[in-house]
Amino acid sequence: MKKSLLLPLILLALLALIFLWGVTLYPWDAALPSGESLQPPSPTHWLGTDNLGVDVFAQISAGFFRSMGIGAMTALCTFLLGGGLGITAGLAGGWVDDAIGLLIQIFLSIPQLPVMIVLGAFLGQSTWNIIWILCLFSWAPVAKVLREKTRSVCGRPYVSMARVYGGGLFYLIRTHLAGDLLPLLSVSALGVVGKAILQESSLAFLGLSDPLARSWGLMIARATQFPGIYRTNFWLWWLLSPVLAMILSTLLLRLTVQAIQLPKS
Amino acid sequence: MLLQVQDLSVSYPQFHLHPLSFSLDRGEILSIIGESGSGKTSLIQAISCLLPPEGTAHGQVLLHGEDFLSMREARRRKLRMRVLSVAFQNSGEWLNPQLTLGQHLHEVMAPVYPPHVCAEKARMLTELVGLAPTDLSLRPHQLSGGMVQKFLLANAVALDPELVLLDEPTASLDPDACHTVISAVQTLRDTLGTAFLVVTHDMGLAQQLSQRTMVLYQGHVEETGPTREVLEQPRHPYTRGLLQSAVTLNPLRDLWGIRPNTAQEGPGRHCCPFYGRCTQSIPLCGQQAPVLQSQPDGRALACHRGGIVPLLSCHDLSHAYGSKQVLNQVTLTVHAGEIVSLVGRSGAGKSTLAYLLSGLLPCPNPSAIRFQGQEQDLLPLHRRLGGIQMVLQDSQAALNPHLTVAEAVSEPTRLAKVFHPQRVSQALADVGLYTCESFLARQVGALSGGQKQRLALARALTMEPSLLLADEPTSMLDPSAKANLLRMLKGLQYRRGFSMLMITHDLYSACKISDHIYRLEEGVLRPWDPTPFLLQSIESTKEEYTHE
Repeated sequence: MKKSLLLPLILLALLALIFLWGVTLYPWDAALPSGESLQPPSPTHWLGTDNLGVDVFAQISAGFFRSMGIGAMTALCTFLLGGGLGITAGLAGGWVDDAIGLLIQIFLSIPQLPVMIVLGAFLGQSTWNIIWILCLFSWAPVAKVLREKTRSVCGRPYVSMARVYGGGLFYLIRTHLAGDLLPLLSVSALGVVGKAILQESSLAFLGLSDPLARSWGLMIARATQFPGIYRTNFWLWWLLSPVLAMILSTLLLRLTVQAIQLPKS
Repeated sequence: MLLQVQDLSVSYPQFHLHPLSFSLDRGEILSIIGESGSGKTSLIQAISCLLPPEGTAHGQVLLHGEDFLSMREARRRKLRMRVLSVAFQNSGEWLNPQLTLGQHLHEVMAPVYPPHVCAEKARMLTELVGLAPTDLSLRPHQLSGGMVQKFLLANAVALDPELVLLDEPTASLDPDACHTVISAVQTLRDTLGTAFLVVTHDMGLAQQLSQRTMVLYQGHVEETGPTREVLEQPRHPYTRGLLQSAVTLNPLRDLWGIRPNTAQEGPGRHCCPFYGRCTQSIPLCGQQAPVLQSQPDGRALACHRGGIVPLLSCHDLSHAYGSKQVLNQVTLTVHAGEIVSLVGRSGAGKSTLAYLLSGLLPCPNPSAIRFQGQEQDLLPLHRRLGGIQMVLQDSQAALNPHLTVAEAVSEPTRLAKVFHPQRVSQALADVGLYTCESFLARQVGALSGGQKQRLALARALTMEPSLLLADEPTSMLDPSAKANLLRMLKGLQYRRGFSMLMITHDLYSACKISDHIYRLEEGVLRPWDPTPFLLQSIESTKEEYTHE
């Protein structure tokens, strides 16, 4: 295992363990008030409580798994949709390639946030809708990269030799394309996780997510909507902790992906 | 007609000279070439009616229309030496050890010439064949092999016969003496119109002396025709093998004899004599011997396959990239068992030609390319054993770096469903790579450039191609690996009749292994043969040291 990969991976695992603690053994629930409102951090409430007296650490912990879950689902979706369309376009060529290419360009040129807002509002506030919307806007860049790569690999002499030897499409993909495409596709899909977390939070911040779910975006929205929060020191734990959790987990994800991408030294 | 041989055959308990016919006119020289045991000497013995008692001859030998074989011995004796004489090979024992050379000649000439003419004639004859007049007083045991040979020639032509049968006249002579004998034969032919039947295995001699050549193999005539044409464009695989083994004709090239017999002859079956050694034989060849058949251009050939098979040929092949004409009416034939090299500058269109011939590049005019004489879809030939295989120039890119060596090398055989571990390890060993498990499990990306090049070649060889199209197969190799590889390829040609079209910049390698070299320049293909230059310089050097 590469050293540059080991460090972010360990930190990410550590973060996940801490948040796992937060949803299992930590005494307070993420949805129910568990003390006085707006308590500062203390040994009982590690990161204090919000205006309703709900424990902030418990909320952040629950938000971590929700965000990661949404990110993973989006990544899987992107993997299948972006990979499938990109590789198909690269392999098939001709009109199929043209059609998929056009589709990719259309999705890349749609202004994401407004359309997401409209769609989110139109489809209703549910976690699955969020995932669909996120998928819709994350597959196109991946498909674009995969299409180029597939094309370039297909043009390599060893692939044409395999064709000459009578290798079928399935054989070519399995033997000669997978080795180059799979790592690229995995890394691109993994890269989507971090982006999805941020986008989900943005949608939640705008109130387009499930209002009952424990989400970082929702927490931030509530905190910022609290009148006069900046004139008190409540923001120090109520607002800053979800923001930091989001930054930290996204950063660690990005570092991990980058470490995977970097060639072995 | 001076000599007409009609359906002459000789049977020994162990050997048969199968019926053959030919004729010889005044002043003609016919050479009969073939390796030892082909029946050359038996033929001479049969014509001159000097067969040992266990051999019997059938057929007719007409000397001026009169059958020499069936005439009475007394009549025959009158013709011997006067009309027909023989000089046997290495036949010191034909001389009487008690007599000097002068006495031998005297014995021959005395019945015909008066004594003073005899002496004069003897002096002239010794001069003619390159012996000193003083040599006439020597006895046979005092002579060297070369001198015996020369004397036998002098003896044979002593009475100015019309026809002389020479059995290996230059076998034990040094080049200088060889030259003397050749010019003696030519002088006699030119002045007296003497006809010669020269039996030899020396192609150089045949080339210098004769107008016509007959190729004999195990008692069968395989090919006949004008000497120059037979030597330049042999049609029978045996003739070609013989020529490839002749050092005088191939001063540069590596020498390989004809492969040893690989077939077991069925008892009682008269198969083609060359069946087991031929690399293009078909079942019919093992069942019956082919008949010598005349061809439209006056040559004759005995081969069921119509002679050496043209494996891949293209006729008037042109190709253009856009408006740029790359190949202009290229005509090229690669015969079975040949290594042909294509040389030329980079960008001359060599690779394009290889791509077209292999089918990797779709040909605008598919009927221009034929494989084994037939118009074929070229790509499927890559998917079966004994077809075509292509080795790309860039071996780095021709192999998937993610695969292991075993996966990469077995790819074509697996896809063609003819995979066998033995085949793979054989191919790897052939190109000089390791066949151990640890090497097979190594990733292709981790190999060196030279190893990849050999691996790409091994991959092609697993399919046992009958034709390998190799684009710069040795460019990445160090000198020793290159030498091994070229020898290996040449060896395959020798054993299996494998053919190769090699594209190269390396003229020296091309000269070393190719049977034909073509030069592609500005889309035009021309044959290129370095041998004449080289032969010329060897000859002039030889002249220099003989003059000193």
